[in-house]
Amino acid sequence: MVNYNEAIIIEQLRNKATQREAFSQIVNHYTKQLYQQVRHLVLDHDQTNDILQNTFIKAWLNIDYFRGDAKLSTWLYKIALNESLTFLKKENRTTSLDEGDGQYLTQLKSDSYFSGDQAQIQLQKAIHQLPSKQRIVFNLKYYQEMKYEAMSEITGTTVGALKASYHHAVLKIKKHLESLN
Amino acid sequence: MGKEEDYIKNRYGTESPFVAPDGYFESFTDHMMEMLPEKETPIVKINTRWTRIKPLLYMAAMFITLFLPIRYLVTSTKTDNTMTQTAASIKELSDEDIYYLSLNLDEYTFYEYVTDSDSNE
Repeated sequence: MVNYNEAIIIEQLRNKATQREAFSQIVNHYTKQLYQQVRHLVLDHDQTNDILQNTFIKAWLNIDYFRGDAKLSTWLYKIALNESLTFLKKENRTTSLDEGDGQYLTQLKSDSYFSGDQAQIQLQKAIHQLPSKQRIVFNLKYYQEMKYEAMSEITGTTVGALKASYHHAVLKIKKHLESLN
Repeated sequence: MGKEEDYIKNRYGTESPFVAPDGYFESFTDHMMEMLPEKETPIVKINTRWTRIKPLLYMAAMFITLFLPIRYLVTSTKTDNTMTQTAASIKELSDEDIYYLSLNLDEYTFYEYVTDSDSNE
């Protein structure tokens, strides 16, 4: 397994002879975390796979414009989340639970790529009652423990606004879960 | 944040319940790299003196092409106006005016005036 060194990778990206190999290391390094973020938003594995592929294709086509002043992770997350939001908008799944996400959530129980129990399904339903952008903030903080500063670079929102958004998201989810119990 | 967040974490944990098919991540990179298009070699434009002068020559040619016809149209219109004015002023002369004019003109010139005003009526 090759050790991932971002400074070296960025240098190699600038050289046409090593660019492709450098990009394959990027794909290898970031696939899992990007997969999780996208999957938490769109729920379905096949749709996640499509979005992930589109993300890396877009990144490849624009790799020459990556200046290196932001982290590669920030740049990739931005592309992945934009692709996810575009997909959800197209499927009319950006707002409340009832508009399209409902069928995916009820299918979770029979989804072979969902390892959670009934409690987990309830949590996912509670998360999916949030607007899509608030859902992104919650997932990045709760599941990936991302720092607000990094989240701010990805979403273009201030740290203060992100903290408020997460706080409200947690309150809404807790209230929803308590009402079920 | 504390209490509310702890409530959720204690009951539901923070591990993602979403899993991928067996071998998915192991084969994803190879599959992804096969999908990526080859990058095109960019065509580099060489900036010679001719390429720098060309736009200026085009502008000069356009200016000449537009200027000459406009100048022609403007000058030919002016001549027409002068001739129109002369014919109009003759038409306005009354018979009395013509008589008094005739006193100062020789016979040939006088008939020329009268003939012109008649033909314009």
